[in-house]
Amino acid sequence: MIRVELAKLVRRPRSWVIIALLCLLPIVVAVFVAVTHVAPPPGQGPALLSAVLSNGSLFPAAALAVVLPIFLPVAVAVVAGDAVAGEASSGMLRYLLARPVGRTRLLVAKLITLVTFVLIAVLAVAGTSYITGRLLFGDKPVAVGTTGISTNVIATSLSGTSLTPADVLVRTAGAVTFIAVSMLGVGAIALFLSTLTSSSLAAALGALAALITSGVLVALNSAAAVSPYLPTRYWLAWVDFFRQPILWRQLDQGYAIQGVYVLVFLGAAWANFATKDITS
Amino acid sequence: MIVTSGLTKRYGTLLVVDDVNLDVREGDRYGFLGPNGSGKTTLVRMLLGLVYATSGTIEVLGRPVPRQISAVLPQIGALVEAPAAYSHLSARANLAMIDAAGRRPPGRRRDRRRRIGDALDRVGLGGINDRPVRKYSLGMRQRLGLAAALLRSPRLLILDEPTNGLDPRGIHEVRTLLTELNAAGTTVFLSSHQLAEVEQLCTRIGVIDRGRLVLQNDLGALHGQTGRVVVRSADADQAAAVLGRRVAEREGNRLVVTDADPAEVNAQLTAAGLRVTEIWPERRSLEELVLSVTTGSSDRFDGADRAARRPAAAQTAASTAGEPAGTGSDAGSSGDVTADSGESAAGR
Amino acid sequence: MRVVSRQARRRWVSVAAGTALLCGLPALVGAWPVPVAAVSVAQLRARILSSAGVPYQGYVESTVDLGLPSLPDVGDVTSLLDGTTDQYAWYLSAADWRADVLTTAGETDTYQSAAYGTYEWNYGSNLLTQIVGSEPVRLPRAADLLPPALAQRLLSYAGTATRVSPLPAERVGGVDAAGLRLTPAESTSTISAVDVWAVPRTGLAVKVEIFGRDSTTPVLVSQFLAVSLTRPSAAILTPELGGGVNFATSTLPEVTRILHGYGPELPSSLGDVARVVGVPGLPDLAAYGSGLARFAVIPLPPSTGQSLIQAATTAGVTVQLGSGTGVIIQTPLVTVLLSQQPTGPIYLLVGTVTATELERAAQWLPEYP
Repeated sequence: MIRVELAKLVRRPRSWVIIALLCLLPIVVAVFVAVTHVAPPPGQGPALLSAVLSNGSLFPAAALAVVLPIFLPVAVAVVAGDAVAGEASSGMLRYLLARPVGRTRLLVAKLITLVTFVLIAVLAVAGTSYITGRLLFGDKPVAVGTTGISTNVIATSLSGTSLTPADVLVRTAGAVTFIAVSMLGVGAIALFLSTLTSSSLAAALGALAALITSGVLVALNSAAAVSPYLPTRYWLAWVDFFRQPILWRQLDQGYAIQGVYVLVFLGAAWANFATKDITS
Repeated sequence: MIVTSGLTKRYGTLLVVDDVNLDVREGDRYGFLGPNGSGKTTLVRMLLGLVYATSGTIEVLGRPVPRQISAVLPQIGALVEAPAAYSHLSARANLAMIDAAGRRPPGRRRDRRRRIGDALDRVGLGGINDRPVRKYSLGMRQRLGLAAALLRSPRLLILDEPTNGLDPRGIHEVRTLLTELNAAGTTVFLSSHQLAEVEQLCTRIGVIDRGRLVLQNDLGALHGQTGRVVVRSADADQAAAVLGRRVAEREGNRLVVTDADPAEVNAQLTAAGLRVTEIWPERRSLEELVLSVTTGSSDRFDGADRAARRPAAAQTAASTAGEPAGTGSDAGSSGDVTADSGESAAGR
Repeated sequence: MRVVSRQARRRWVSVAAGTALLCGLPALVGAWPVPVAAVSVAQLRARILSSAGVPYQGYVESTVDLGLPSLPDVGDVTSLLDGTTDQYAWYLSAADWRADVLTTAGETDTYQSAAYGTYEWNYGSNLLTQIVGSEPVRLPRAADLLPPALAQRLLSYAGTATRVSPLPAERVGGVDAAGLRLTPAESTSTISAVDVWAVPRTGLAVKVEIFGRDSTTPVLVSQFLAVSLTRPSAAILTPELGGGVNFATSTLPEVTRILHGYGPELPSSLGDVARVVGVPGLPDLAAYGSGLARFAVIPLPPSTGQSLIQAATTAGVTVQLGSGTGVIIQTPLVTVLLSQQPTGPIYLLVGTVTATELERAAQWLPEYP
């Protein structure tokens, strides 16, 4: 079943359109920054964007920062919201279940497909933005302190220390993984809603509403008591990969909270879907 | 093959399927008749484990549903309501996708291509090219849906309105196909609101009305002769005189004769030198029968209170539907048939 | 009711139970009884006071809610005293530590290194600054809010006269900590209580809460969210000039330059309030008071003073001070008085004493000779 779901994902033109759009936005940002040579000051705007003017190798991380707040979650919500509701509204759900495909198996296959989609999307963004960064901003080594140019230093961490290409690669890989995992919570919510309704749109919008609520509460001081439990609370913690040393605390909590959301909402989806009357 | 007992489905306060005792035997071509909204589709969904009953039990292929549904479904080919397909894929890709989905007997992947070809051939799509299903006509989609149902050479076919969207030629082809499959040992359960379709294909029928199974019997038994003879004669007046009190009904040059054998009536009339244009034993028409036990379309709302209309409805239907003959007795006899068979839903 | 209702119910119940377990896990861990430390309050106080050499590394969250209006020319102090500051600190000794103030897309780091000196890194300006020379006076900085430093400072201010009582033990940042409460004896203090929790064995303070006179919830909470009682590696504590980073040296601390030399020498007492801290070489700066009721007196340069008074007037209360005027800003913890005399400098009085006390003390401020 997993193989079938993956084939469906890959053969569906929509998946690739979404990924292409995701890749396009950072390229647009890169072009503007490269042409005007005006980047937001460090610490403001999308993280790390200020650093790319001197060397493009941090641009994959900056590109992820650009798509992370809105575009990526919207894409994930759309794909996850469509997972079951889309099958229901096209009528394929009843034929799949009569095949038979176990309902729990179907859900798990959908989740795995979703994870694959997120990974492909994030890697595609990272890959295209790496090329964009190299082409538009170059990859010349940056000057190091008083000792002059060291060929081995291509970027600076948030803590002001030098990063070698290997450092940048490892940290970017860490950030990509963390961002992909960060999307799982919203994916699980959308998947659950997708089993409630046969409208993909309603499921996707429901998940986005949950995200926006979470975002508002995270920013609200008086909601500080609940903020550690909100799905978007640790989204921006991927920046911690670019500190020296890497601060794992928020990253670990981000992983944990996404795990909890996946467990809870996948469980709810399972409880609802496994005994649901399929009338579509 | 399919046995349900006391099967009931309630959505909130709405009773959709009410105490249905279905009995489909191996080798049957079972026609499940009912007007729109009578609960046909809900019942079919319950058989496939898509919808769960409020109460009652289902046994399909000898196994309880939904408990052992995963053992049952691989032997069933199903078409539920409209056919569905991934519209951006071709017919072959769709069938491959469907075939790969779910649990399957081992070793079936190797012959997938052949089985897909076979299934497409059977439904008359053998020469289909790779254009996406999006561009198919309704009839082609219907055929594709049938092909998906046939993909695994099922023991039981459950088809909900399989001839929807097909032209007369297509309908004929499907009928031939289903008869062939049935002859080869496949039990066919076909739900439809089209009397003619069921009458031409099926060996056994069940009629559902407002969620209740009001009739279930072999078509042969239902289709029996009424014991009356219909005569059409150019000399109708004289013929009526010759036959005397045995003429139950007369309409122009058409006479209905009770307690008679066509040969004997014919001999009597020709002996009297009268011209007989047509003569045949009167048969109960399925349409009459169905109309007599059902209460009208649920998609019709006439303003009369449904509950109040219900007891009288059978009679009303009977008296207006009987085309030529004394339909009062027909209604009675259909009631008898139901009672005799002992299988129809209780609570008439 | 459906034939699968029981199954459905069982599934929902198991999901609900799992969810409750997951959500309740933090509460459950929190409710797990903390073993009572075998340490007396006096011992604990002594250990905290001598904990300056205890190494640690950890994540600190400090929340201060003073409601102080934004004042010009005082740097990041107002943001420090209003809102939440997240820091990661690596601490070896008073001479060797590093504290990073973390923001979502940047950081500001302070390095104190015995071998290399004092450095400040600001990601926002991409600038590493070496601070040369000693700093006799400085504005409060984020590292002052780290629980060990804050607890040591408060306990040493409080002295031995302040009443100390035990508090139930708590688990803070993953370690079991014994608690004590300081209740200031001074009626003039705005602080009603200071609660400190510390690791009983080493005296490392892990959580500090300060209560204002009229508040039931703490005005200031600074605690470790995660703490490790291990020595940080030398590499982390060593400032590094990374690629593409600007470098600057600051020889004279800015604050001293701004503040020094605008007022006459301050007396050893203002009325009955004695001077507790004098600044060597800066006779016009001093702190007065006792215990946890103390305040600083700072003569301001005229331009800074005027802009501060303007900013404060909208938020504070204007009072008559002898022949001059004053503006008082009262917060739950800190009271600020800006005093302007016809023949004297503009004085900034700020501390944890009541407004009345500040007004009283302001009468005694020296004027220009």
